Amino acid sequence: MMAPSGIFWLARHEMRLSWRDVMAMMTAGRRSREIGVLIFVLVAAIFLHFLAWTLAGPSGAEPRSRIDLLVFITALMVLPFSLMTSQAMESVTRIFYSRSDLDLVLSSPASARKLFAVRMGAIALSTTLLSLLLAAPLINVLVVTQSATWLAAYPVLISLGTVATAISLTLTMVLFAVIGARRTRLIAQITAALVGASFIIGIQLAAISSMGTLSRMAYLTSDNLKGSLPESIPCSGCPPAQ
Amino acid sequence: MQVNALEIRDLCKKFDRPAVDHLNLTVRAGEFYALLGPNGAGKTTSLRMVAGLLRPDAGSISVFGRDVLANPVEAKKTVAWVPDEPMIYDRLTPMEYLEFVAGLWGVQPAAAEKRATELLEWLKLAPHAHERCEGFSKGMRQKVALAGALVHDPELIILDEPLTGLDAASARLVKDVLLQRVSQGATVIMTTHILEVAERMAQRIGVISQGRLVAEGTLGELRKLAGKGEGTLEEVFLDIVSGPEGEARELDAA
Repeated sequence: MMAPSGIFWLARHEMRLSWRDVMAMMTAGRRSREIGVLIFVLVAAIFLHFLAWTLAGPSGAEPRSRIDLLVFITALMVLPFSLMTSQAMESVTRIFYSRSDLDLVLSSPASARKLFAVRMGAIALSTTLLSLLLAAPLINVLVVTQSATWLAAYPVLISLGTVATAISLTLTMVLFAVIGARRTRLIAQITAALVGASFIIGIQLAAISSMGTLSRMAYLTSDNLKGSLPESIPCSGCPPAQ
Repeated sequence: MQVNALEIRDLCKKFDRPAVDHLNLTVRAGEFYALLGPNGAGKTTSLRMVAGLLRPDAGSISVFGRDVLANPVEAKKTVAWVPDEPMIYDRLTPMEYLEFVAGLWGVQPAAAEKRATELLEWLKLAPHAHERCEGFSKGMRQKVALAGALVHDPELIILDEPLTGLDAASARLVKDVLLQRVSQGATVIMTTHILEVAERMAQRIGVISQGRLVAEGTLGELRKLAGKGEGTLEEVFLDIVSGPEGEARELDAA
């Protein structure tokens, strides 16, 4: 399983580097701050769940229908999807084309195929985590207050992360083939920024054209949008669709 | 018959212009070989192709009789490549780095740890073995990278400008380590702009210009070639590389 240069061994190496990078970023390089960071993350997680509870919990200002929640949670997933795609494109250019350890690894007899498979997995994981960070508190609250069927949102999120990574890989490789290695990073970053903004701009345009308002939230909760959605599957304990 | 450590035949690589142009080069097993040449002569490109990092447009490369293009994995098992700006992971300690590099070459963890400990002591890095590399000086980083090149016990060590930016003590240590490896049977190929180093350390010297090997031999042979009876390598080198374009003056036929 953990034979040197095997897929799990390479994955452990990547995870160790990523973990240390994240901790270094959060602690500004001071390892003594690690406990403080862990406490901060815990408090932030509790706060986000509290926020989700006020939105979707039983004590919310007004009871929300299942379809409302479905639209809301879908927006919470699709918003990060464009961000995920943009983040993944940046990761692909950095990890595949400019990471400085490529000389070391590619001059070794270790399998380049395994290495890149591990790195693609790492990109998918990191991009999915971004989406999970935003949506998980709401999903957890819905699981507790409504139904375990909301757990299905997790595999959906993971699928979105994987699809975003696949799209990013394809786009970046096409860029690499068309414009060459040197320009790929710059163009990929610009494309990533455009992709990242596309969802917000798209909703804004839809809100303006269909409702004449600048409010994205008004559009997301409008009858027009809800009417275009498929009927939700009934579930016990869920408020009825409005 | 002893197999050569490296045999390059008619090697070509073109980017915007030809970087390597029908290069032929042979390095014998157990030899310390210095590769010289002006900037842009094609030294690094050639060695990157030997290390399996670039694919040639034409030609063949074999390392200890193993075809680098047809069987890269087998060839890479015997080679260590140290680029001019070697990468070490800032977030790893030297010990972790060496264990990772050893693992890439399939060395089992117990053997890797033992070998890494020996190398770190040898390179005077033992007190820093468990500190992260992020605060290391250029010399310390270079020594960690060199240890990485040696940890899997390669038969052929290729170094691109390994002494650039090192202080005198570190440079001395690196040179001693390389000479010791050669005395133990390894083959070393090194590019350098420090001609004194090539003059003192290398058994044979090759000069590349415009992607071709334009001169090769011992220092004495190169002097004879350049018509500089007692000249320094610097004088000989400058004479050779300023000669007529593409004129190959290979001496070594032995």
